[in-house]
Amino acid sequence: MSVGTASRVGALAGNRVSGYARTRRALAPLIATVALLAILHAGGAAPGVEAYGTSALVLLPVLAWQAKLVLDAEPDTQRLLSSVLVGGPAREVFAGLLAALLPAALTIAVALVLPWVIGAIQTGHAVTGLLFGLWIHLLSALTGLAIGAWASRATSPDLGRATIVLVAGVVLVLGLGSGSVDPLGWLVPRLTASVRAANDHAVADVVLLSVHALVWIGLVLAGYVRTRLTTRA
Amino acid sequence: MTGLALQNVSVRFGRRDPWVLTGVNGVLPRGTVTAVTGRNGAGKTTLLRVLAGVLAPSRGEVVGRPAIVGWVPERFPAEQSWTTRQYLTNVGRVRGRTLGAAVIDAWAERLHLTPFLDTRLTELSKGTAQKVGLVQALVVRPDLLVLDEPWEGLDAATRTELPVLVREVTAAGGVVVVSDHRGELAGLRPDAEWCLADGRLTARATSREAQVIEVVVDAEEVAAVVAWLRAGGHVVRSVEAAR
Repeated sequence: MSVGTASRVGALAGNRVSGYARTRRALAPLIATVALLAILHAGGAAPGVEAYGTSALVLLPVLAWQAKLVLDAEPDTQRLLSSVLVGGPAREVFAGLLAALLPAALTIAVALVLPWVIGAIQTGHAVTGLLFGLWIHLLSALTGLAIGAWASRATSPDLGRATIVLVAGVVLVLGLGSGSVDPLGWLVPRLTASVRAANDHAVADVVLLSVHALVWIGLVLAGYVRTRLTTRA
Repeated sequence: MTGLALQNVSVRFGRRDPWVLTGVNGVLPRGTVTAVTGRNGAGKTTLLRVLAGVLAPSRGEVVGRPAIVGWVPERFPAEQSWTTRQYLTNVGRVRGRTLGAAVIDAWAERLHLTPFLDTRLTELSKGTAQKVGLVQALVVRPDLLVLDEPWEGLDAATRTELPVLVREVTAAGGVVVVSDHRGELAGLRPDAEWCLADGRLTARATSREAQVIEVVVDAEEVAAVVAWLRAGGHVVRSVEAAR
């Protein structure tokens, strides 16, 4: 991708985030994030790996919902118009995914900083806890992006279908991915199993589960992009 | 490349759905205006979306689509929180251009949008929003301009200006495609007309043969009728008292 193309895609993503931030819809996931984190961390200080691991799982529904909201912020005809303005549908789809990631980055930042502010993280092994927290929230955000993208209006124009995709996606990831129903658990990113492995200091398992999660996210997003580029507008 | 070509283009929206376009072939030479006509539901909007690159054909392909395309959808998506100026500035950025205030002001003045530059798109009337739709397509001088029923809601002054804007694009070698179902094409003087019926295309060169009609109107309505006729691309030779 040339610098000019990247600049145009970046401009479209920026416009979309800005447009999303101007709507009241942007406030709801932010409020939900803070409320969930406040409830989660109200029990007192916990080790970083445990506290962050749980928060990444709890925030998955919010991250998926937020991704859908960002992708749906632009009217349908404007989305088509944007593909003409930016120079092609592939660029438009990529700009959408990029735009959906930016509010997720803010959510991750809040999730990482808020526990420190309210004293919910034990000081021992702070760096390890923070690094794992960053990684597991990133996996949760990308999983949420994949689910939210499929639930967005461009691929799920019917509200009922979108709701089913969103709810079923989150429930399956959190349910099947807990590690207790092998081998079905390998059909989804095993975020719950990753958190459990991290709590057990099983680094090799965390790496294996992370690679699996990244492959799943890549495949699901590739399917979304392919569908967007071949679905009749 | 001498223009844009549709090669055996067919479109349907689902595997079990009926074909909206069937085996459409045609060439749009540079520097020309092509009108797409047909009744409601004939497939005009679908064909224009394929030409603009918004919709991928189910079969066939479009060859020679230029890099800079201007598309004016039938209804401008005004449900956005930007002001007109913010929206056009954003359009410039996404196009990879910096649209300074002077450029936006000039286009706004030309299409009588100046009083609405700082108005939110959601607060614009349908016609004024449609003008924003025209500006976003024209402000970068497109090599392909696709206009889907561009007259909807436009005032007489802008209707008069539209043929001039179109001719500026073709004079620079651009291709213009415009759809119409209400017979408002006369002012554009298209070089060719593509008539769509049941998803199939019949192309024909347009006739430039003219006839003269006499119209009698109330004296108070003369100015309005003359403006209306001229906006429609008709020539008003003279106005005189009724005998």
